[in-house]
Amino acid sequence: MGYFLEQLINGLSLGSIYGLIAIGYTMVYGIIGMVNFAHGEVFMIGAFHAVIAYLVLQALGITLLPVALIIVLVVTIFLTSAYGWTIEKIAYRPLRGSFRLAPLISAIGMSVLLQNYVQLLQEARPKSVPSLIQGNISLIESEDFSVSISYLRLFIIIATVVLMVFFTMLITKTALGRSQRACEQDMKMATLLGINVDRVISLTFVIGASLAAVAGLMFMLFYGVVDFYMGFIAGVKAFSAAVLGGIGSLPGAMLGGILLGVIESLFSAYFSVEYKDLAAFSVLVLVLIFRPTGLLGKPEVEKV
Amino acid sequence: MNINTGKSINLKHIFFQSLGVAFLGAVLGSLLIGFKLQSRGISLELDWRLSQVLAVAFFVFLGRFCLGLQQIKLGLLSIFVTIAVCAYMITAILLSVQTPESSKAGNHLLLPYSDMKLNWMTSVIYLGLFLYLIYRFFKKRTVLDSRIQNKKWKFRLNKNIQMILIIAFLLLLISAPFLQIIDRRILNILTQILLYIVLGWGLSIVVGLAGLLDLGYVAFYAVGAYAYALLSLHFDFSFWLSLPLAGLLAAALGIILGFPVLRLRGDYLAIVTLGFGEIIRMVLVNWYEFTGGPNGINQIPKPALFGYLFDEPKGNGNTVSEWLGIEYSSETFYIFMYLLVLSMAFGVFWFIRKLRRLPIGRAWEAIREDEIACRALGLNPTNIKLTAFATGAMIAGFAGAFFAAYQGFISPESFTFVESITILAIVVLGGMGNLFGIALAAILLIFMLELRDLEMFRMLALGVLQVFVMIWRPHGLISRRSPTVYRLMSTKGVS
Amino acid sequence: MVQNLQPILNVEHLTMRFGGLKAIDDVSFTAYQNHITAIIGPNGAGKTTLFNCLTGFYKPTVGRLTLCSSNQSMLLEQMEGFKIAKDAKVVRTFQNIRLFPAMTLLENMMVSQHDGLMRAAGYNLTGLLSRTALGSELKNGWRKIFSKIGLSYYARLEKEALDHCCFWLDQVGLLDRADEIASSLSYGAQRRLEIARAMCTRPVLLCLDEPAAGLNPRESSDLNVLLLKIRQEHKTSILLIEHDMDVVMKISDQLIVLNYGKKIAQGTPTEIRQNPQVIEAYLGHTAVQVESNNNSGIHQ
Repeated sequence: MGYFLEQLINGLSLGSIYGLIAIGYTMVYGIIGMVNFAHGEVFMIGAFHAVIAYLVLQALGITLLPVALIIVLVVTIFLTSAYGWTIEKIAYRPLRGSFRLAPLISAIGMSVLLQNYVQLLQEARPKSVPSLIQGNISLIESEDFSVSISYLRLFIIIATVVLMVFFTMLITKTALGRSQRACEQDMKMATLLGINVDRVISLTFVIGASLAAVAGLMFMLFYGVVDFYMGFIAGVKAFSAAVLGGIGSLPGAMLGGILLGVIESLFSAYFSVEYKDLAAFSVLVLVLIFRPTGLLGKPEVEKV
Repeated sequence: MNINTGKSINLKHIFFQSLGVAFLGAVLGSLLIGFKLQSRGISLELDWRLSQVLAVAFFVFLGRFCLGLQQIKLGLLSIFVTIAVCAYMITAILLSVQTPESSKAGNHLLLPYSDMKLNWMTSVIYLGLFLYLIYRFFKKRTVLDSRIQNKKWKFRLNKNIQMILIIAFLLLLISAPFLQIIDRRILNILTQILLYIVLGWGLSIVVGLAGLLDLGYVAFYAVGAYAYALLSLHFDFSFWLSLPLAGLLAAALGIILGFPVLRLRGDYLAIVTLGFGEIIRMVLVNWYEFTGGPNGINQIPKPALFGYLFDEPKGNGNTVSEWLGIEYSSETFYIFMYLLVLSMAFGVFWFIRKLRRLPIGRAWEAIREDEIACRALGLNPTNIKLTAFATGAMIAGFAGAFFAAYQGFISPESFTFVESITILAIVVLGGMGNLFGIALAAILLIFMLELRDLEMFRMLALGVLQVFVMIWRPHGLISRRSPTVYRLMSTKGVS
Repeated sequence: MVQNLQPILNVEHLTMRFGGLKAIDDVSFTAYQNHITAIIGPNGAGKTTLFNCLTGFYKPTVGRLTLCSSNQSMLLEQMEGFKIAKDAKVVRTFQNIRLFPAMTLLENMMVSQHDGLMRAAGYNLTGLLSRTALGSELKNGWRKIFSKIGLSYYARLEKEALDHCCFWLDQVGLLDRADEIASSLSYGAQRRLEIARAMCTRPVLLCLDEPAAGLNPRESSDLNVLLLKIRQEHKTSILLIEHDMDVVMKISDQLIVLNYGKKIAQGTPTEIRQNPQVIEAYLGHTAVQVESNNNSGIHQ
């Protein structure tokens, strides 16, 4: 029982990371209808930024953890979203209105490009990062079992919840959110109504990238290791999460991410660690077979 | 480029624009280029190299500025600037390479980056820029002429001469392994290229004709290879028996995978195949008992020729060398494999050309063009996509079996995502559905990838290539599409 | 006049709901064989939705769609989308033309022969060994020799199919451009190609979604001639959505008027012209409607 609860908490924090990445997929999909394959790489770059930024701060003598974390967070978000913005500008914007596969192929190219760019600059070997947040709080202590939650997991879960609240407000309450939703519904009409669609799309990429950056930071804290290849698998899983939740739906992406994280950590706890990636993938295929619209997605009405 | 922005382009405008781009470059590179993570023991340390960020910003600025100059008719100046930078970089690199270790520090002052890879990259980018600017410079001059010429310029030889040339080329291909200049290494590259051409053709059915993006194509290649290896090792199946089985197995897997996904929107297929490719690799790595894990499978039996083996003669008369009465040499086998792969390539070529002209080929293209219209005409989109997917998988399965037989050993290393991307790049560069274009692209790309010194740039180049091709030449090198029927073929048409 | 008519399509209590919206609300009507039945109504009346239900793109919420061809009747609402065109032979065109733009006109036509040709090619197995038109007919000695090897069964059927396609291209006046790319055609020609492509499947019921939209007066009168010819010479019934009252009133035998998803009238053009309800709902705004539709058609 204790083991189960611990795995559940583990899954929740892992799922939060997936959920944050999945939002990037789902938002971009909602607005321009393409799978942004380079998103996993944006996440990877976010993690690298976080590591480097932290080490730079350490070298500069800022060692107080909360202060350092906040600065790292801000720097990482800023720099990583610059990547998101640039990717859209270079690889996707010129292809709007090209044939159907063009942006997808370009996205794959971009993903490969970014992966190898980082590999070239930072070498291929995985970099292990010392764990920064240590310590546990006990939740339940009884005679047969005890359940504790580490500060790290607590931090990840709370940060995700805060981000989600902030993000939901952004989408539902602000003018930006309104124009974003308008573009999702009908891009042509939004243009006619004076919405700068290019800017909205750029901002979507920026928001997606900043959430991925946060996810990258959390991943770095969670696993304590970064390498240039980590964006690939994480990207596929986050996309599976987005599909599970219903692609195009923001709460769906978060829900899907958390579910996927839980499924994965339970699978590797009770079945097999080697094949834990298989769990995510099976979820994706099963969802596509039985409920292609996902848990919270709206059924797609084909326009004929 | 900036024609439709309505702003007047002048020097000041270009200057500030370049400054902006350079700033963006500096921001993007600030952490990743400015610092290098070094694992020392268990601790992670940073190398500071912030000067490199400045260098990047400078080169980005200069590059963008040159592009801008070209827009305001100062193209000649920008050509000189780029070639000067290029020449400087290459001289500096060569100097630093030639000088012995002890005095290297002095030469490093000439180079903007401490990291040699960045130096190389900058030179290559500026070389590209230089070529582009030259191209623009001369294109502008001759834009009117070339347009007129383009209409008239048609490369058409007499049909008979064409045929003779083709036959001569085929003869050359067949006789290639027997030529003096072709040694073992070149023959190996040629065989590799042929395998990639076949894979490219197979994928072109899926991506080019049916318009489905398959990012895990190499998984079917792996299935074919492992199918042959395992069947021949465990069940003593001969190559000729395993070959069709390998193809069928790959096709069956394609159908199983494609069935749930192909009913849905196209983009799902891309990500599912991406995941599938990874899963297959994961299974190959982790399932020790069956696949040999990361070490793969060794000593896969060589295919036999009419029952004669390609082994060293042991006196019982069942080897090829004894049968043909030639001296035993390990070369013989590779020549044989080359010819075998070549004949498979011809077979696949004929197969795809034929399929394109059969109703299914037209249906594939129709599905790519408009799925809804297909449905309204009574075509079953799922089946048509499934056949395309399975046919592509089958060709990959065949190629895999050949690969396993040729190499004699296989491991998961040969079937990574990188391979899928390489094949996709071949198809994209070659022009989606055009068989000749794909062959050309395979030759270009594999030669490029075989250059040892550029190992680390390979994948980077592939990524850049895909983005570039999509933006500037979305239909690839050869975008010509020949119709599958002509009006002349109908009796109605003649009247 | 009504008494000796055979029904071709029976629509009973058709209802289509999207969430809370009833796009079609309990519509029933019958279309007759060798008739041109026109469905008219203001924008948003549910006409295209009706077509989508009929041709299997939507599954109707409630209702029965019976097709009574030759001697058997089929329930369209229970059939899979593509089977409606394949087995029931109900073929449609689209409001925003859907061609295969990168393929030639003739190839566009040949796609509609897919089913028969697939069977002829033994689902591509025997087809692989047979001759195809391309390769055997080109004036080229070498290819001729190669093409002699192979079965000729498929080649014969392919030729028949080609002739059929060329016949229909000829009917819409596009035979001269058969080897051109479909996207190079003008708007009007694209519409005609789409109709020809649909007719090429030998349908029993042809559903045309605004075929005259965006056509100039001459083109639209040519269209009238073509539609009448299809009905008379090829025994194909036509179901037509149209805003162009010129077309509708001149050629249709029966009119069905929809408004807000409900059927408000049914009858011959003369009856409809005098129907007060229709005048109120629709014809009262004819001038405005037709004008705006023509405009939007041109800009598409």
